[in-house]
Amino acid sequence: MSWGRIFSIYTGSFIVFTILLAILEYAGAIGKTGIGYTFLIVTIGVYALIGVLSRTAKPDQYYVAGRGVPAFFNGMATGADWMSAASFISMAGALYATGFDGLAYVTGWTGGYVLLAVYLAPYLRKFGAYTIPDFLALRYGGNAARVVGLLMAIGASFTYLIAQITGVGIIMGRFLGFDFNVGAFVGLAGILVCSMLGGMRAVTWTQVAQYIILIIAYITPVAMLSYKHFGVPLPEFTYGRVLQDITAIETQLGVQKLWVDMVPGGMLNWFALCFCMMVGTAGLPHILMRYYTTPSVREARESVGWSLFFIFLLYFTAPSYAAFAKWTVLKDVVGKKITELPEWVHKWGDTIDGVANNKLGLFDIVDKNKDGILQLGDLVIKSTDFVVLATPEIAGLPYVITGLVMAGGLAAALSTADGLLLTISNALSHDLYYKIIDPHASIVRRLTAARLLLVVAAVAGAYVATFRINIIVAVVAYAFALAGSGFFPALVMGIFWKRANKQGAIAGMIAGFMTALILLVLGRNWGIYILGVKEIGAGVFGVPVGFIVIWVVSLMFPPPDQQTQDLVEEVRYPKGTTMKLAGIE
Amino acid sequence: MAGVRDIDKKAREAYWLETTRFTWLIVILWFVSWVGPLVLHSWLNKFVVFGFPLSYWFEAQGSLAFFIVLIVWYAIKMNKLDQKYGVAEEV
Repeated sequence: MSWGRIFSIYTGSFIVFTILLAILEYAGAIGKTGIGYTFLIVTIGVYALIGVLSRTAKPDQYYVAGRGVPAFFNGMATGADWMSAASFISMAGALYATGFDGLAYVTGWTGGYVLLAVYLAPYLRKFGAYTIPDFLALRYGGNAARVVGLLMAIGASFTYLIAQITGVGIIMGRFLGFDFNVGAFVGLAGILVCSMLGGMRAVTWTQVAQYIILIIAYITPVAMLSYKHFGVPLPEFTYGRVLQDITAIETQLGVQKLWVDMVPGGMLNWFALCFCMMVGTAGLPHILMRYYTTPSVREARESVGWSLFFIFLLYFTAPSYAAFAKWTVLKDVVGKKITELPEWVHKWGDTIDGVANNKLGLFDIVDKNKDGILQLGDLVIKSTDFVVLATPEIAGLPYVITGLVMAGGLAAALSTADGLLLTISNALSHDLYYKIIDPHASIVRRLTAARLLLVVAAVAGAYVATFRINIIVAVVAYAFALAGSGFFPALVMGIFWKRANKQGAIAGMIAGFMTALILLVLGRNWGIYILGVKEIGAGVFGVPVGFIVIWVVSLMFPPPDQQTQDLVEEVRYPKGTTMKLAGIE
Repeated sequence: MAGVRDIDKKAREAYWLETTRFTWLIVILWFVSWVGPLVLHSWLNKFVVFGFPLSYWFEAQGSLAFFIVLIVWYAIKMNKLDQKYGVAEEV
């Protein structure tokens, strides 16, 4: 049976399953807790099943899924790999809070794929290594470049991983009332069963399954909301009318900065943030690694297109969530009597007019001037996550759709965590253990080490997540500045400039990474900004510094040897095999 | 398995020249497509199409869709270039 058939049946079954649950809910046969647990057990059960069926003892399968993932499915897997708990649950909320200014994330987290398509993906596929440090080591002669790459890959991926595990803990707490630590460790188990036995092969097919669930879960509530108001279930097109209404109401209320407008003087920061997210996308190892898995260079190119298409489906829907929520708040909540608020406000409010309501609630209703009417400032938001989480109820949908959103959020967090965990454990087992510590290790030993390190990294991630360090969430956004500044210049120059040498690359990676890191620390701790660019956009300085240092330092030292130059020549043309020529695998 | 050395050097150079030029073109279009609507923000937002102020529309949908077009165009054109210069993969 072909993959296409398998996943069509899978998608159909999932939809039927959701409808059956809805019927059971309607008949009163299943309650909220029942729905929540059913979604949790069924979806994680499916991921675990795929993980077990995809077990493998071959390194090629374990590290790069046997380079047999068709462009279309690699695109879906990349979509799930890419879209994290933050994209699924928090991004629409950020757009709700900021309007136009938040669109820097939407454009930034998609535009990076153009850079990936033309500068990296096809060449990395031709190169045909297992990891990103592999590429750095071969191109820049030796283990020094490998170690720098390995440290940066682990640093960026590990903070990102902790944020995903935190996301799982929060989701389970909100929907099932789990204690955070219990939720985090249940999530951990879910991640491990997917990746441990089958490595990349298992993660790839689990991610495809997770993508399907997350995209259905994301689009359904807001599509129904659009249908309710406009009779067309395409929120991406109908929210233009919503935007007009928002502007009209805001003008009436005398709001200074309209939601669809940029904050005055915000252009440079918008640019910096967007640029940073784009280059960071093209520098994150867990994404780059996915393009090692396609059967050919040709399919690697096509796969980037599919990746962005599948990501686009979620990202161009996110602003519609924000717009519908903003509209609902302005229209149905602001100006209403506190005693006559809509039902969803009662479901998601923490305290309403001083009365404790729902301890897991995401906003407070505070009647500041005691007039019994809710003003815009009386809605005190504690977490804008309510934008995605409360939409099913705003649309008047049954609880089963809320359960679906939970399953989607979990899929988003788990799929990203899978990819990150694999990046970390591969860097440790392949680059550190096999390539540096014991180059004569047998295949069995290598794969045992890989699995062992996978468990160690996962447990370490979950353990750190239980401390609930606030800085972690901020650090995830910083990972883009660091990965973009550290990796991107060295990878691109390695392919497009033969003259780039070891000294230049190592200096450039360190200089780019450190520039971003120093600006992050200065901005975060002391509010010191260059040209007023906030620390989150530090990559706008780190990336050029990386490029310039590689260029200048490379020219100060002799060109790379003939073998390396031949390798670069080889990487540029799809014909022929590179790794065999270099005598690597 | 044939290596790159089996391909005529002139063909290789021509292929790489065309590839790098095309890469520049894509990157310039990419840059203009998202920086343009940002720089012209105040002016573009005065125009409203299907309810969307234009600058908002570009950064929320238009530029994103254009990114996909760019990547698909790149893939199609590069696959053709591979054939034209005889550097395509052997299947």
